[in-house]
This record gives sequence, C-alpha cells and structure tokens, in this order.
Amino acid sequence: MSDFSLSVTTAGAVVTATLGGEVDLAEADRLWAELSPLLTPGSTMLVDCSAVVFLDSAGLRSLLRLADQAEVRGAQFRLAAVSAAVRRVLEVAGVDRVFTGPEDGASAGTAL
Amino acid sequence: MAPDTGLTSANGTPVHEIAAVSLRVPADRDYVVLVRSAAGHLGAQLGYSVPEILDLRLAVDEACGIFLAALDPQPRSSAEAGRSDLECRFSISDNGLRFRVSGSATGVMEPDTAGLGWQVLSALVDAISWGNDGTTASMALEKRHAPGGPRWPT
Repeated sequence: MSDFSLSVTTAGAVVTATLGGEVDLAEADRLWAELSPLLTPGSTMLVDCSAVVFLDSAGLRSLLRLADQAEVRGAQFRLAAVSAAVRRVLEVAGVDRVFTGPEDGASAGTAL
Repeated sequence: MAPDTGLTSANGTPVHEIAAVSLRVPADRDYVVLVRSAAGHLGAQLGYSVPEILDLRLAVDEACGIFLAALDPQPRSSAEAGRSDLECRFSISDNGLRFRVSGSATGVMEPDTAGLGWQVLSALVDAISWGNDGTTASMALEKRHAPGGPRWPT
C-alpha cells in the first residue's frame, strides 16, 4: 500500500540503486532481498535516496545490513544522495557518520 | 466531561481532550502507512512545521513497529497469524498530542527497548509508555507543545 520504488542500473562494477517513496517496515525486507545479492566482491553499490520521502528504523536497519554485508563480501556500499527525511532518521538514530565514502577520509576498505 | 487523555501538564494535573481521531487497522506491517498518514495530516492541522510533521509521522510509525514486533517477533501476515486489529487513537489537547496503539495482549512480549526503533522513537517524543493488563497491551507516546505552541483550530 505504501508508495515504494526501487530501480537498479549497472555500469561496470558500479551498481546504482535508486530508492523512492516510503521505505518502511513493510518494504524493508524487500529492500534487503533485492539488493544484497548485488553486493559482489569488488563491486560498488551507490544508493540514491534523494527521492525517499520516508525512512524508518526498519528501512535503516536494511541499509545497515547491506553496509555490513558489503564489508563481508569485499564490496563498497555508499549512500550517494539523501533526502531531508533520510538525513533526519540517520541523525536521530546516531548513524549519520556510518555512511561516509572514501572522499570523507574513511579507509577504502570500510567505505559505506 | 471530556475523557482524560492521560496527558499531564507541567504541574501534573490532567489535561482535557479537545479532539480525538481513532483508526482500527489489521495488526500487519502493511497497514502502518495508514496510521502515519493520519498522523501527518493531524500534524498539519495542528499547524506543525514540516520538520515537526516528519518527526510525528516517524514517531507514530516507530511506535506501531515496536508494538507489532512485541505482538509477534516473527511477523507473518495478519491472515496467517489470526491477529486482532490495532486500535490507534490520536488525542489532541492544548498541551499536545498523544498517540496510543493497543491490541490483544495474547502472546505479547515486552517491547524491544534496546532496538533501533525505540532509540529513534525516544529521540522524537516527550514520553513513551507501555502497558499490559493481560487482556489488552498498549503503547503510547506524547508530544507536548510549549505554551503558545500549535493549537487545534477552533
């Protein structure tokens, strides 16, 4: 019932996942199920959340699981763009520092 | 006499209700969107700012999520689980807004106060309460206004 969209484009080893609408407890499992298989060794996944109008802790938990899975598999995982709603949840959950990329000074091996 | 909302003012006296909205939905994750949508519209009606409305929608969503998880840590569809509905009630007073979600207490566990949902909810509201009298389990959150803050239109 909630408005949720997920599209994936691939360019070489870079997978861009574009999320839109409401990423909530009803959609969080689907987010994980669709994106985790794409975290292959050496790949980079960029998640564009600029069109996400709602994200809750369940949706965030899926993103965190994906970040962890990326690290386990030797893939890179990064939030490429965030909306105000996403930024707020990251801030309130205290994880806004987790999703930083190599350009922010985090080591290449743990870029999320 | 208007029912006691359960909200209290700063000196502890009960606050009376101006308006209430009730919503009953299946105890299933797919329906939480309807409850947070109602919260968003009520926030707008109360004159909340956009960030306040976002926070209210998120808080209500998290409360429902925490409550559903306590109902059934391995969630299945409400049809499979045979669950009763969620009774949701928004209560507006001069002091603020209270949201309460309740349902059958059968098989209800304690809420996950160590989880991310509880952490997010705690940061967004002024008070959270949990109750279980053996028949009904409930969870409530309060978001208080500063005096002179948002008012229900009269």
